[in-house]
Amino acid sequence: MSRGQLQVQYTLFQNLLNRQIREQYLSSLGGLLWVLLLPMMLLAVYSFVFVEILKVKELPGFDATGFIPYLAVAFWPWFMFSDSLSKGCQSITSNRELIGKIALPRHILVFSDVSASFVLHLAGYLVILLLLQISGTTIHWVMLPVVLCLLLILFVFTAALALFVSATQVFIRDLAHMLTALLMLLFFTTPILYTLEQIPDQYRQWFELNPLHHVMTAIRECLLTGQWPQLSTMLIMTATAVLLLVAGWWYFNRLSTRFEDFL
Amino acid sequence: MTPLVTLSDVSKDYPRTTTRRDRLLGLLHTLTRSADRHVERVLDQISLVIEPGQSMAIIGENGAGKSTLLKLIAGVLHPTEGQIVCRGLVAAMLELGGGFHPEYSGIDNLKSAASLYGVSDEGIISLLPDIIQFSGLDEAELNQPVKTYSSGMQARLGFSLMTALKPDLLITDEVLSVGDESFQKKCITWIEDYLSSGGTLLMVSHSTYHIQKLCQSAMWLEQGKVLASGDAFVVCQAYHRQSLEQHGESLNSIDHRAIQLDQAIWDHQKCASLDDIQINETNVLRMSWPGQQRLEAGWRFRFRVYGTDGQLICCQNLNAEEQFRRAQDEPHVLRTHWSFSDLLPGHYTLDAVILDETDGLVSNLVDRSFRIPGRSRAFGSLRVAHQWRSE
Repeated sequence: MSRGQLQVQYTLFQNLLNRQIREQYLSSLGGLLWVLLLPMMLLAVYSFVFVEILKVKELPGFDATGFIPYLAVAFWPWFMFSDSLSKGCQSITSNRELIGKIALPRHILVFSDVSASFVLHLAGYLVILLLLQISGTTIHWVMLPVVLCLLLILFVFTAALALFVSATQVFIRDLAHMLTALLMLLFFTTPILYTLEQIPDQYRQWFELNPLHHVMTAIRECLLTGQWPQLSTMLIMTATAVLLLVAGWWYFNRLSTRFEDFL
Repeated sequence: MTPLVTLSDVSKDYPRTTTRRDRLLGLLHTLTRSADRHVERVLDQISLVIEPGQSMAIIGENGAGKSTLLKLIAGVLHPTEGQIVCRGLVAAMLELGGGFHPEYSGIDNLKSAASLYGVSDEGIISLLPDIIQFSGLDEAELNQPVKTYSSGMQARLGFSLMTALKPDLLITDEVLSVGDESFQKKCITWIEDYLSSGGTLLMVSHSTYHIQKLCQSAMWLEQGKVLASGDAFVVCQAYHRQSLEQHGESLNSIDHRAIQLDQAIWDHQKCASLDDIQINETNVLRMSWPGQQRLEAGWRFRFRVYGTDGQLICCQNLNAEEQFRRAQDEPHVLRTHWSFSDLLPGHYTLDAVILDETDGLVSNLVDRSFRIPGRSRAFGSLRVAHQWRSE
């Protein structure tokens, strides 16, 4: 790919990103508020159920922080992941009109959708962290660059998965529905509402295979306890994400030659 | 000169997808690069070279694969077999409102559509005044969402963008037929300028007038195969003849003494319609039309007779000015006397058109095949007076 082409792709990407952000959030009633409001409502519901009804008291390792900050810190990264994956899944099918009329690199559509969700939820995340700080939780702001690195790994991981699902969605239209169920399953099997220590020993090794668990835990440890993530974990996560991206790229490009035929 | 576009043995299959199983198999076939047998071939082994500065039309019936071919060249579709090499900026108006978002205003759409062609933001801002001026849309209209636009307005917006992009290759698919007459003229003038300044054009059109005015060459597709390719006029004639034959309108036992000409093609707005056209028993082509249709100075009638193989046998011109400008407001009749007695038996085509001062087609009057019945021992088209004498 020449530099000129890269430049063109970058312009295109930027434009689609703007378009996406405007279309999904800024044009609707309430604007950017929705990015905050919807996750906050969910946060409130979960907190009510877990704190007031189920009376969750212990959070091994995070006893000092309390349930709401514990949940909130991992909740937004989860939204970045799940939201961009479900949007990314439809990136190709929902842009059918565009694909049929203009020659453009299709992967840009996926990347711009995923990026739009990440950017918006990142904005929401920063606001939430600020709110937590104001309400008395100690947020280790010095760790923010590390958290951003972790989120970058999450982004690569998500984009890779989005390449897989968006290409598959063109051929198998039921995937979007299946994905909703799968994301739900993943939400409850990732230590977001609970800690890994609470899982019975015989299941724990399976939970540790979940890459999301490592990202969420690392982010929590950074922000809430100021603890650096283990270098080996970081390296393994990065390698996994990059490998997955390469595989996703291959899969997507292989299938993209026949998108138009099946759209 | 390096060609702008080269297609070598390009074929395109569309999958026959009806069930989920077909789609799943399609996915597996694509992934493993194995041949999918559940397909329909829409283009078969097309080879084509487009040189810079060339203007080419693709003609054929609906479903012949014309649009698929354009989409392949525009890079929107990928060929199943064969290779496509394309250099330079290709701007394609494949359908109305290509790349436009119905909810966005005209202006916003222009901006985002331009970026889809790789134009930077600063670039768009500098291009915008020209685009708006060409489109002829006013500010209020441009701030309306595109979904409220008529198809003509969408065509205006789309074509105006193309004019600003100054592509190396311009591809249009039946878009000229949407705009109103004045905008069509504007587009045609623009395309002519674009071509004379070295631009390259590839178009699909059903309008013989547009093709003959804009294109040097033409390619005739039928069921995904190239049936004929070459000079635009010759290919159009051949195509036209076949489509007439298919409608069973000609060639069947038309006596040369009473050639029945049906309603003439009168596709230009300058004159409304021809109300009567016939050839009587004495081989007079009689055309009459109401007085309010004006024939401008410098226009002329052109009559041509062709042989079966497309060979020109005779071309006659008549200056419209002298004959008709005298009685401008009265109904007038044009009679041309034709004697076909020198034609040998066989099939022929008669076409009559009105041309303007720059040889642009104003109107197709007649385009009909006819048959001279009989037998002859001579070959060719014309009977030439001769004698045999042995000395």
